[in-house]
Amino acid sequence: MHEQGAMIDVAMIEKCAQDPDLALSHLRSLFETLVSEDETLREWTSEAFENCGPPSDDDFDWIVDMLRSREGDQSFWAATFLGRLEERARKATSKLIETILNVNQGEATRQRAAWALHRIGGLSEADKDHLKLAMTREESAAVRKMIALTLNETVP
Amino acid sequence: MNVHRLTIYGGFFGSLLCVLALVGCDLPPELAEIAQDANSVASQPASTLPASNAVLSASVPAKSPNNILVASFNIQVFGMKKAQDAWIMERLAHICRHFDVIGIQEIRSTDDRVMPELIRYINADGSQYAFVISERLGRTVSKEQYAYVFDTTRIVTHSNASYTVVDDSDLMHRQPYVARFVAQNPRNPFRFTAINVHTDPDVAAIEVDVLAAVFQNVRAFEMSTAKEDDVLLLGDFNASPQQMRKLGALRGFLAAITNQPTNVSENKIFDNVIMDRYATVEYTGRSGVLLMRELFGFSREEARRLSDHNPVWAEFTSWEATAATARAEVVPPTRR
Repeated sequence: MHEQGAMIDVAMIEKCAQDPDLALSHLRSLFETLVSEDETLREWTSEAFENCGPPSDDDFDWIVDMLRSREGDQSFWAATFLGRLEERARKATSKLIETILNVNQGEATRQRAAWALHRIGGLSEADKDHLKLAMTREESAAVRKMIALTLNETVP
Repeated sequence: MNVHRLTIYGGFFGSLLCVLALVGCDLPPELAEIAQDANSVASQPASTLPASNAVLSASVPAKSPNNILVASFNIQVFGMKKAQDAWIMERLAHICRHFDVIGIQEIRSTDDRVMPELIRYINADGSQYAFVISERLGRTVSKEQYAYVFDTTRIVTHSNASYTVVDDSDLMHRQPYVARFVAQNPRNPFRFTAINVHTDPDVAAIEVDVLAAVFQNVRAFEMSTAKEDDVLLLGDFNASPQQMRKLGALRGFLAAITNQPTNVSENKIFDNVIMDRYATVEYTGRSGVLLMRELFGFSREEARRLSDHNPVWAEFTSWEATAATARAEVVPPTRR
């Protein structure tokens, strides 16, 4: 597991955006710069995240914790990274369903959590029941649509 | 300004809407101001590019009265950090001058000076480019804008119309940005509509399917409102033509870039110019990737200071063509 990193500068983040392995080795620090007040740091961090692929299994636990972040971009990217882990993130299924059901989470995060569940796959019948419940409660058409696609497993 | 909002798509994915801003004059005031401003900086110091780089790339056809060169360029995280770097901006400007219309992706800044700065650099040699730009788009705090940069001596925005495809069902992370253009050719000028896109790499497969609907419905909308059948879908698809699924299955689907990598690492085809081969017979068959490392004679690492994507381009006749005439009249026989 990577230590909670010190803030890294924009030059390093730019390198991370070009080098997926470097980005993954600084993932925890990048989650901090993702919510920096400095727009340049934030934007390059988002770019690094877009380019870096699935995280290490060693980062799984703290990424799951990050689903509960009050910072919308952190929870959005936590869901994204879990989705990228695919079946290796199956232990996060219940936390992702909780995220979808959490009305305090932003629409983008809830939608991405539903997408992550699709990528992870292998939903149990109980998981599907919870998702169907989420469908009935969900006000966002975008989130409902992603849940439906996940339940139907029609998303490629 | 008249603003029209209309449904252009109602299918499985829900409704995609267009907001169309029509301005009833030849050049919108903001563009006129930009052109004026651009002229005012033309006397600034010339580019510090080495003399060997002052010429345009031999891999891109020269501009001529008979052709129009349309490009797409993802300028990675294009914000004020790059806009304040003269080394970068001079090279971006040099790239843009190769083309008549450049669809730009990844403008990531809340500072509105980024694109005016690019235009200032482009026009520093006396060129007369202008731009139109979208609103900020995206689901997270990090948002992007699209822009079109165009050579006002050769292109005008047809009916001065540009619009964002409004995606009420949030099917795409960033809604496509559409603009109409017309070549300045007295002989039945080539008119076309461009759709600028940048898919989210994590959901590119889903979004490329949505783009099939976007392409069809923007074309239907353009046909009904402007009798326009030439629609170019350009941008960073995060998908090769072989991965374009529903989009690739559209009748007449033609990708300008089929086998040349477009990223700076030169191992992926992300960027493209897509058209309907039966409608856009103005396409001359010439297209390519402008490799920045070749253009400037530097390493991939240096190229990445500009972007992790190379620009891609396609050539069209500057006049409305027939299938039989397009290539024959533009492409010199010796270069075919």
